[in-house]
Amino acid sequence: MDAAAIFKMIVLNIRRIEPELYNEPIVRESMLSPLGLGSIERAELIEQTLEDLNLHVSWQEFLSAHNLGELTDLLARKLQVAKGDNSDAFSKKKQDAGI
Amino acid sequence: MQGSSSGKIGLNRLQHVFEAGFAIRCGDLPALAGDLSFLSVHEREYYDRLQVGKRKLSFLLGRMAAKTAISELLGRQDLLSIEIGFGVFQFPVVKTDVPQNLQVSISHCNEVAVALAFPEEHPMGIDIESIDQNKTKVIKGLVVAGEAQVIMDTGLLDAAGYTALWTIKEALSKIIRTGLTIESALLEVKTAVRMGDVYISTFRHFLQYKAISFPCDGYMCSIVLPKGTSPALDDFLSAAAPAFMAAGLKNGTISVR
Repeated sequence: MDAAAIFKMIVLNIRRIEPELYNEPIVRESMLSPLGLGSIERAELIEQTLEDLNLHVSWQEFLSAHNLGELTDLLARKLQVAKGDNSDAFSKKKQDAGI
Repeated sequence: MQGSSSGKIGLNRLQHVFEAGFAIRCGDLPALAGDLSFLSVHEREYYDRLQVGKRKLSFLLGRMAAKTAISELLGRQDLLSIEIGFGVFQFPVVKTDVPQNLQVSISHCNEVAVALAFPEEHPMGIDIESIDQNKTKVIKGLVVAGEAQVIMDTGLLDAAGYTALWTIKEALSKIIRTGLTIESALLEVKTAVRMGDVYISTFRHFLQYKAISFPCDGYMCSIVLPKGTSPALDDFLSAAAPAFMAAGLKNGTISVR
C-alpha cells in the first residue's frame, strides 16, 4: 500500500470519528488540532489506522507527527519495515526448511 | 447554554503561599461567537482562519477561560490586554503588560473548558475529558505495567479510572511541555488513593509532583502540581460541579463508582 492510499485511509477515519468534517477539505498539510480532534480522538484515529494497516505497534509512536502528511509518511515507513520483517521471517523459515 | 465560574486557588507550601487563578467556561458556538471583542488582533486572525466549528468552539472557550483565570490572578477585568499565544510545541504562552512571569494551562472537552493561571515559580497542569466507555480501548494503549492495578485500587469504574489515568498523564505532560508524545512509561502513575471526593496520585519518575483528580457529571478533571503544595481547592470544586453539569446535560452523564 502506498502513501496516497494510507492518506485516504486516514481521511476516512477522521471523518468517521468526526462526522462534522465530512465536507471539509482535508489535505496533507492539515493538522489534527485545527480540525477539532481532541487528544483522545487523535489517539483513536491513529489506533484505527494502525488496525486497518494490520500494524501492531503503539499509537503513541505517531503522536509527534506535525500534520497528516507527516503521519502518512511515518505510517508508510512503518508498513515498509513491517513488510521487510515479514519477508525476512519468511526467508528464514524457507532457509530453515531447506527450501 | 453559557456559563462561567472563576476564582483563586491558594497554593500553600511550607514557607510560602502562592496563588493560582482558575476559570471554567461552558457554552456553545452561537452564543460565544456573538462577542469576539475579548480576542486580541493575533487571536482574532487565528480564529478567522479556523474552518471547523468544533475547533472554533474549543478555541473560544479555551481563550476565554485562560484570560479569565489570568484576570482573577492579576485582579483586573480587561481581558483584551491579555493575549495567549502559542509556543513551538503549541503550548500556551501568556503575553501581558504585567512584569510577572505568568503561565497558563488550558483544557477543553465538548462544550466546557478549564484553565489555571499561575506564577512560573509554581508549575501546574490541568486536563479534562468526558468519561466515555467507548474511549477506554484507546486509553488502554497508554497504560504501563502496574497502572491497571493502581486504577482498580481506587475503586473507580473502568471508564472513569482509565479516563483519570489519561487526564493525569496529559496534565503532567503539559507541565513538561511535551504533550503525550513522550514515552508513556516516563509518566507512569505509581499510586492513587481516594481522599473524600478526590483522588490523589503520585508518579514513579516525576517524584516532585502529584495529581488531584475528581470525577464530576460525566467528566474527569485532573490537576498536577508540586507534591509539597496543599491547594485550597474548595472554590474550584464548588464551581466545577454546576459548570460540568451544564455541559454534561448536553452530552449525557454516567456514574463513576
